[in-house]
Amino acid sequence: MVQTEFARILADPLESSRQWSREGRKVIGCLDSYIPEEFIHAAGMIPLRILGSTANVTLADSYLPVFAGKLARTILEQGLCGDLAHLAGVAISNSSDAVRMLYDLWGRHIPQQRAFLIDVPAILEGETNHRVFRQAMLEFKGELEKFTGKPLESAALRHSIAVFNENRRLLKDTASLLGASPPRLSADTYLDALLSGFVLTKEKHNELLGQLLESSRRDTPEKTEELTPLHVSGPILVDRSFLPLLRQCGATMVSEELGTGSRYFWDEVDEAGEPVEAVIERYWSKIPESYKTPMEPRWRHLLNRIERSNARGVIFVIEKYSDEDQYDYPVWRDRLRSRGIPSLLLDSELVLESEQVRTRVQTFVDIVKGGAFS
Amino acid sequence: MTTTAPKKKGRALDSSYEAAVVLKEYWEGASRHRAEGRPVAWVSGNVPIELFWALGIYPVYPENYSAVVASIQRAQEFCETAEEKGYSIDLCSYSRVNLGIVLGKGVDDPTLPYGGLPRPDMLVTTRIPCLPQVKWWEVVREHFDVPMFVVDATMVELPIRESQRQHYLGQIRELIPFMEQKLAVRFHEDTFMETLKLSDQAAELWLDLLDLRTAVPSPVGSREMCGNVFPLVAMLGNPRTIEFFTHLRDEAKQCVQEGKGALENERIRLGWDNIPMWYNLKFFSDVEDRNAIFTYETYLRYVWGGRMDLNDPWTAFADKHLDVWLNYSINQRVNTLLRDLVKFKLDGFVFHQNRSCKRFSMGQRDLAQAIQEKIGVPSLFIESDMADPRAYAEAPTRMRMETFLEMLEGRKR
Repeated sequence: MVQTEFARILADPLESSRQWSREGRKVIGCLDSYIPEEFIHAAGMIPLRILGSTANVTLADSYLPVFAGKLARTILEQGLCGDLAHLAGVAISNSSDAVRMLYDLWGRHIPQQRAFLIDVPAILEGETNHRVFRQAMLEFKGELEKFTGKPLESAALRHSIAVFNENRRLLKDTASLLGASPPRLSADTYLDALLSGFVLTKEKHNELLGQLLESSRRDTPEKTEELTPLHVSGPILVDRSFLPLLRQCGATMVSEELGTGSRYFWDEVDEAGEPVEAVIERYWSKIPESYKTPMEPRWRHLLNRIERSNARGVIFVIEKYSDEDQYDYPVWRDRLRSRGIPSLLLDSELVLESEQVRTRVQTFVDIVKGGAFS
Repeated sequence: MTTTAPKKKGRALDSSYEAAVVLKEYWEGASRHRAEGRPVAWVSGNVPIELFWALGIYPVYPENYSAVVASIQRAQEFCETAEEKGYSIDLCSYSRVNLGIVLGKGVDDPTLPYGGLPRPDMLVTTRIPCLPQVKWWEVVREHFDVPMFVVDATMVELPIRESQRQHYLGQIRELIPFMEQKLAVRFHEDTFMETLKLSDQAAELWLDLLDLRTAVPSPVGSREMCGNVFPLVAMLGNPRTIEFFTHLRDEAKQCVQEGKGALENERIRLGWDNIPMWYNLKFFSDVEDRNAIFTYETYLRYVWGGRMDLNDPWTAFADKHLDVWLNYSINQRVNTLLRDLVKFKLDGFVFHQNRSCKRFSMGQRDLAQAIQEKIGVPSLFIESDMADPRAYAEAPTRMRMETFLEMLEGRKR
């Protein structure tokens, strides 16, 4: 079963990349959603999204304070302890301040590994920022070409765009099954499918998603209990125990706009356009992350996902010390409240599971079910 | 702490008493400007400040206001209000103080310092000091619903690259018509150039003053200098700044010429990294009982007011605003600090691991390692916050500082 395959992959997320490396393929670790992975793919390498780990931080403590956040600290830890030594390089974008600092720290403390900086603006508005964004993307492309010693061919890039777009369409199709009635796909399986995509080749992921979609459409859905439909929002959700916990509390995720979810795959590259420019435009105009301005397109996406899924409440899963998301939360909460949609904030440090979280989720689900929210 | 020298009361420089007057004039000027119906913008650190004075737009600094609120021991109540509204305790305390005011009793609350914060007609901020600053302003915009402009920049290693300079100037060319259109003001290049001259004069005076602190004994310590810096933040292009800084510089110069230090028996010279604890500036002067003085601060030297070569004013304008500590890569910070520690003859360095200023605090471990390894200067880390006193633990911090000073004294023997 494909579900078992996803679970197997996620039991050791870096194993596939180690295998590619043993086969002589170059793997580039990507630290954020503004890395044009199509360029890496077209250059003959494999992009691998680095999403930190739940391991304790020891070595990175010497360089980053606790308040840099768990994601940045565990990624640095992975780099320092050699867990990422099989990668040919890492690509870091100018995103949150902590991630930007990782580029400096990588150069100083892991100098043997190539670090690329995609030095894009944070402000995705205005002619000047657009020009600088484009230039930063082109510089990254140039650096990749120098790194591989080969020019990035248009035909290869068109092929990569097609592979990535197919992946995005398949993920959208998968997401559309979440809120289906009767249910066609569990939220747990959806999250596993999402996360597996970051550590597989897109070709392999497309194959598995195809199988998942086929089986989900074919198989007769099991009769399940009535679950309260909720939307989940946040920069990153990697804790696979959270969605089972949600179900135990009588609710399920019927839509999401996670940085590691729909915000990552929602926007496609225009396949009719000149490929390099089309890739750049896709990243410029994609649904922005919390560390980008303006915030309104993200709000519209959030609202759109909630409305389409008929979610009755929103759970914000926000990383502790992720300032950008912490500033957004009360604004989103108040806007949702004015529309009669309740929300709950859960602080995470890549991990959510705790009795306190369970209690809070259970209380929230009860409120949503009871309609006691005002 | 054990007293080994007569305690010096008051300020080392009489001119420092003028700082409070200048600050009051600034905030009263902001209220007057508002009352007269002239435009007011809320701005943040490292915005192109000279433009505002040249265009007749009063630049109001909520960050400074938060520091003022902290210095009169009122930050906690506003931080708590912001937290009640959903803003995490882990967010910048300047922003929590401000949001506590804005979302609490409001900016017109008569119990606030200087009678309250004038409402903004526009918001201008920049990513140069940090990204969360932009997010803070987005919340403020949500509340006031006024036009907002954000100046972006990527981090620099010196010399500044032409592409970074053009990125900055391109945005300034967008900002000027934005201000003209939204606030019905008119940009005149001649006026702007005059403002730049005033700004550069002020920066020259300030840097002269800081350089005088390389003298042994140092004429003035950090506590006083943190109180003196404000005009460099908010009033560049205002002649009052030049007047004040001239008094400071001249007095310090005279002290140095006479060999008169802030301490009668200066034995240990210290440096400081990060924004000070505004609610506890006494931390700086407490060490003076041990004949130690803080005579160098990255915050006072590299965060505000660099010089400009006005033969090429636009290039200089861009470079000045990009060439700031918070926008430096870690490598650049290391190189700068190594140079300055020797110049200022420092015996030890204190890193304030400031929970509220993550951009300042990340990379500090690399700095500490570099100064120890390359020039043998030891350092101490203290964990606290620039405005929220709840993050400051008095007893352990004092004990750590005492131990550090004892160690430095031991090295001197």
